[in-house]
Amino acid sequence: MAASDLELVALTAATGDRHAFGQLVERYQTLVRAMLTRICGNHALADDLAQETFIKAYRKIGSFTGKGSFKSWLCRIAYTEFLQAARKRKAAQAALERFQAHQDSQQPHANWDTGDALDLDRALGRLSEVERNMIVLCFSTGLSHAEAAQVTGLPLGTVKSHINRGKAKLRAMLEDKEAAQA
Amino acid sequence: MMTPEDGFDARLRAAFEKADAQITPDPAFTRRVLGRLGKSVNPRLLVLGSAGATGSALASAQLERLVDGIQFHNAVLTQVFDTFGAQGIVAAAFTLAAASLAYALPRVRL
Repeated sequence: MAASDLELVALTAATGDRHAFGQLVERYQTLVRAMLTRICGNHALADDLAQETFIKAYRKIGSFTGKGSFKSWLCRIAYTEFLQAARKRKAAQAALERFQAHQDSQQPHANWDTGDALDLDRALGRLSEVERNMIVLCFSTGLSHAEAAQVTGLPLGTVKSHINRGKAKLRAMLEDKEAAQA
Repeated sequence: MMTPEDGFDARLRAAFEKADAQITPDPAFTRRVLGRLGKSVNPRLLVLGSAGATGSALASAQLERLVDGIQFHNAVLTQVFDTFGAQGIVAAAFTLAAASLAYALPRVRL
């Protein structure tokens, strides 16, 4: 039977057991990489940030109190890593976003409903950064609104507002797309 | 009964699931993370180590004079002292202390 997250965390915290931590990395790497990929829109950067996330998690594992889930604790570290990287790359990011916005305006509307990752990323790219982050945390990572509020440090009501606004925009994009096809 | 809102949530969730399924578990990723755990050097450890080494060097310079003044009553200790001299004994003692510190520090979480 596979060890629970708490058992693996306890083993890592008590003895620094890398094998136990390796199991946690295997268990959560796709979730963290997917979350960062959707937020960053860049696979290579997302993988770098995911690596930093797990290394920080290993160093700080003694501070995990077990109050919330290990998943939301890990997502919080990942989100902090993303924010720090975003601050460092702010100027470059702004230029990139301007470039992406220009590219998007040249392309047909996103058909994210097909599940194609590129189209979904394009649709997410039309949301504000905070709306995109909240949508990703709740719909890709599977966090509850309360957990997303803990991860981001935003009030629960604010998280809900961003999610509702994000969803409304995505729904409008879908309806536009369907109307265009009809 | 499912509301239009629930239906849209399910649709959105399915779109994410489908897109995220392209990100598959990567054993190389796990190996890279575990490989980096051993190589990570905490800057605080470097600062503490450097401060310790400097302090040890200063202390050993003083201790040499102190050890030089000790009169041993044990024949073995006297012979060791005569063979290696004060400087050699102090150097050996501090080498041992530095090795112990180097062994213990990487295991300390700061």
